[in-house]
Amino acid sequence: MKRAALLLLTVGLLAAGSILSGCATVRPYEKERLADPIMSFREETREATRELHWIEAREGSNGGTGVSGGGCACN
Amino acid sequence: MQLARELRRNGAAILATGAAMVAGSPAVAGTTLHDSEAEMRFELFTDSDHVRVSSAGGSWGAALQDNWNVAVDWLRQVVTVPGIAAAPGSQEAADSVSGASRPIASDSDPHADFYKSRQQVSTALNWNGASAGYYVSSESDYFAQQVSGSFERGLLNDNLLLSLSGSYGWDSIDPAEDTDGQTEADRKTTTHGAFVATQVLTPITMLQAGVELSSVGGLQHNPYRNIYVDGGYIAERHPDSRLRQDVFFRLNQYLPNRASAKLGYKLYRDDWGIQSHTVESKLSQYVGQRVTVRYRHRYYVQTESDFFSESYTTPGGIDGYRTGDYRMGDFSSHLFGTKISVDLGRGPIEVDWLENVGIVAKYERYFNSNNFSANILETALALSF
Repeated sequence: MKRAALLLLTVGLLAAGSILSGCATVRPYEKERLADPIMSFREETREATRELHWIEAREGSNGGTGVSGGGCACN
Repeated sequence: MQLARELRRNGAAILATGAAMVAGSPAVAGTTLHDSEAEMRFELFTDSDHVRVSSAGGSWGAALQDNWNVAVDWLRQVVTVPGIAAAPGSQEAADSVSGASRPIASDSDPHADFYKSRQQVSTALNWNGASAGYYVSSESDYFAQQVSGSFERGLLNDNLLLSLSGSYGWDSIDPAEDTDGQTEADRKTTTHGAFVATQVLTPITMLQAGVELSSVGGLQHNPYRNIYVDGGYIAERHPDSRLRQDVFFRLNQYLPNRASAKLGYKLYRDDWGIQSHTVESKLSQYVGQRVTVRYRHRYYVQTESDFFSESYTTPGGIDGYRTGDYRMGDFSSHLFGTKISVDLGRGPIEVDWLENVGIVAKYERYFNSNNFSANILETALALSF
């Protein structure tokens, strides 16, 4: 279990490091495409949170959205 | 949709300032809305075990003064679990029960369909990147509550958004009368924490990465499910504690011709011995002025838990635990889906009263290597104001 935790921590730190390691700065006026609804992370997360309940009732894992969906005896 | 309209009205300046918000990380319980808007949803879920779930729900959010906003999400579900297709107490009946969550009471007809309803409400209050939320779900045999909070902060000229969130849930499980007589109320608690970073890489590329950790305590098996062991059947039993952790990545790429591609990956592990990989891709494409079409594929594969077995020879199972839950075994699944969104306010002919109205239709097909399959149909009506 410690190996698993270490693996996850390492992968997480590598990801965080790569993100924080100085990507080119994108100026506000260059973000038109990023603001398009079809690029939204937030909308994806809302949809994923709604489907968490039926997915978790049929698969052994959870997560992947950054939020906890709340408990239920869902079918 | 709301942001897109603002852009049409006010130009690229609003787009630019709104980008950081759109790129934002998950909010509390997923209830945060962009601005003032409302949505109504209807969903029908049917699977190959003849379980049917009809859902009606909605969301409402409003931007208040001084950067405050409030969001409410509600849901009502009616669940139909089919009757068993064999004599109660037989091997076949035990197997039938394992696929659904329902009591097999001696004073009711186990061959008849079992119905129950679930009501769920979640609320969130947000202010300057800080959120607090409350969730409640009520069923005849299950009552769940959760409080949550999160904080997010933009850095590097809003090219990097960091979000830290946590929640605590406490559930009361009070099974209906069942043939095994196990009707004692039980509890389950869930403590969850997440750290999510969202980075703008280029003017057309964003990356999101997150780490999550959950600690679950209390009842974690189905109180109605029985396991066939050596000529008789006995109640399922899972460990009372579970530590779950995952890391995930999501990459959003804008494509030429008004399209986008989204790729995601999640690695999950827990101390019950389950490890899973999830790979997901989505392709969105504008068709004309009003319509957006999205295609989706999700692939999932997991290993089995330490105490899973196709059959148990003693009531003690493996290390004292026994399960009839296929989710504890190894399997893989696919999900394919299409979603069509129509923004009625767009297009060459604009009608004032339709300007803030959108409709969504979604169909998804899920199937796994255990010959289980499901159909999910969802429609939604969205209003922004």
